[in-house]
Amino acid sequence: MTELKPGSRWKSAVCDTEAVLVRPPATGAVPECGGVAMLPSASTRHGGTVAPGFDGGSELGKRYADAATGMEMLCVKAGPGSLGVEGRVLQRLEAKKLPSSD
Amino acid sequence: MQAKSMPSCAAPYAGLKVIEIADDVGGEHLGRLLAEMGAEVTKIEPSDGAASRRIGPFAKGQEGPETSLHFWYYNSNKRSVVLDLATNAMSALATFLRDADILVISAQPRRLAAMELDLETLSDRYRQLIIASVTPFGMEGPYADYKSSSLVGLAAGGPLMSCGYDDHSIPPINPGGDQAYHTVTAFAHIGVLLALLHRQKTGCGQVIDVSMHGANAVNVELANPYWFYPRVRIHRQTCRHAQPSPTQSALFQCADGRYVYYTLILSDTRTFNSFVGWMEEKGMAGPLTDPEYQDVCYRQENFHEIQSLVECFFLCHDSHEMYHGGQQRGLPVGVLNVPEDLFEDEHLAARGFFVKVDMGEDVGEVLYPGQGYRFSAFEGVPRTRAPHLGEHGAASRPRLAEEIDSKEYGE
Repeated sequence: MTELKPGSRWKSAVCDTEAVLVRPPATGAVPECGGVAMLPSASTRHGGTVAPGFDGGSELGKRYADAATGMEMLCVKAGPGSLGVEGRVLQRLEAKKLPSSD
Repeated sequence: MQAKSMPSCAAPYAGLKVIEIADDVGGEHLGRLLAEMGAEVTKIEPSDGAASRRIGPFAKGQEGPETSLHFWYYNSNKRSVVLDLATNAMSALATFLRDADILVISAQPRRLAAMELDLETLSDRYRQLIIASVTPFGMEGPYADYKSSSLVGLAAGGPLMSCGYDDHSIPPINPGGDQAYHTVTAFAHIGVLLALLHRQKTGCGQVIDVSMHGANAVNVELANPYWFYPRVRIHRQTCRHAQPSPTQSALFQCADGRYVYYTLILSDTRTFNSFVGWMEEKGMAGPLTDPEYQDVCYRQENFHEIQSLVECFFLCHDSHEMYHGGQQRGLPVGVLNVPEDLFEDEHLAARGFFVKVDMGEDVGEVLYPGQGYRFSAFEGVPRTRAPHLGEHGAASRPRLAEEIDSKEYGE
C-alpha cells in the first residue's frame, strides 16, 4: 500500500486521472477520484465508471484541496473524474496572480 | 581551498600592535578582526571589566566577567590589561601608545572629554599612530553623543525599514547579530588598511572617524538608488529584497517541514528549462514542458501557475534532496538552517570551520568559529580564548602604566 506521504503518486481506479499527493489528509483517508478510492500508481486498474457528481474532471497542473482534512493534490495527468476525499470533491486552488519575478 | 604551498610569510597583520579601548561591538569586532589576522591586540579595561563582559548569555548560566559568551566571541585572540582611564587618559596611555600602530577607540566625544583624551592631540603626539574611532554617530554633529545600539543603528540608518515580512501590519524586525556594528566594523577595517598604506608611503598616521550611522545609511541595498533616481520608496518583503512592488515568494516549504530558498528568474530560459527538466524527472512538470513556456512573455503571463507548480514540487520532496538536487543542476537552491544546524554542516566540517578552544579548567574546550580567511601565502592564526580580566597586566593609580610596561606588557 502506498503511504499517504507528500510526493506519493496515485491513479484513478476509474479514469485516466493521475495525481501527486502534496499535503496528506489529517484523517488518513485515501484519496478518491470519480467517487472511488484511488490506487497507488503502480497498481492495475480493474475497470469501473466515474460516479455522477464526481465527473467534473481533473486538469493537468492544477492543485486541488479539501479544507476539512487539509489534503492537497496536484493533477499530473488529466481525466474526467474529480479528485476527492471522504466522499467530497476537492476544490480547485486558483493560483494568485504575481506581478513579476524578482 | 587547501594551500598549494607552505605559507611563506607570517600572518598578514603580524607585527602590528593595536591598543583597543572599546566596550561595544563596533570597536571590539574591529579589534578581533585585526587580532585574528595576527596583530597583537591589547584591550584596555577598567578594573570592573569592559561593559561587554556583562552581556549574556553566560557559560553554564553563571553570570560573571569571565563567562560572557558575547565577550568571548568578540574578544578572542586579544590581551587584557586593566588600566584606569576615567581621567587623564592621555598620560595613562603614554606607555601603550609609544610603540603602538593602531588605537581602536569607541568612546564618544563627551566621554573622551571626561577622559581628557583628545584624538587630534594624540595624533600629533604619536605621529605614526593610526587612530580608528568607531562610534555610533561619528565625532561631530548633533547626535555625536547620542546613545545607541545595533538596533538603533539599523533603525536610524535606514536598513531596519527593509527588514521584516510581506505583511506590513507587522512592524520591521531586528535582524539580530549586531549587524549595524558589523557594518561599521567592515568600514573601519577598510579604513585602517588604507591608513596603513598611507603610513607606508608617508610615515604618518591619522585619525579615522567612522560612524555607524553613516555606514548603515549607505547599506540599504535598493533603497538609495530607487529614492535618488525615480523617487520611489521600497517595501520590505519576507526573506527577499525590499522592492517598490511585491515580488514572488522565494521560500518554499518541503515535505520534511523545512524550507529552502530559491528564486525563479523567469527571463533566464536555460535556468527555467533546467528546473522544469528536474520536475519532469520527478513526473511533476505538468504543462511546463509545453512549447509555449519557451516564450518569456508567456512565462511572465503565467507566472502564478509556474510558481504554484514549483511550490508543489518542493512540498513533495525533502529539503536536503532539493538543496543538493538543485545544486547538481546548477540551480541556486539553499536550505534554511537554524544556527545549531551548522555544527553538523558537512561543508563546514570538511573545511574545519569550527575549532576547539581551551577555555580553562572551569569550562573546558568550546567550539569557536575558526578563521574567516585562509591565505596560501600567510600563516594562519590559531584561535585563542578571550582574555581574563587583567590577564596581561593590571594597574591602579598611582601604580603607573610604566610599571606594567616593564613587567608585563609586551613580554
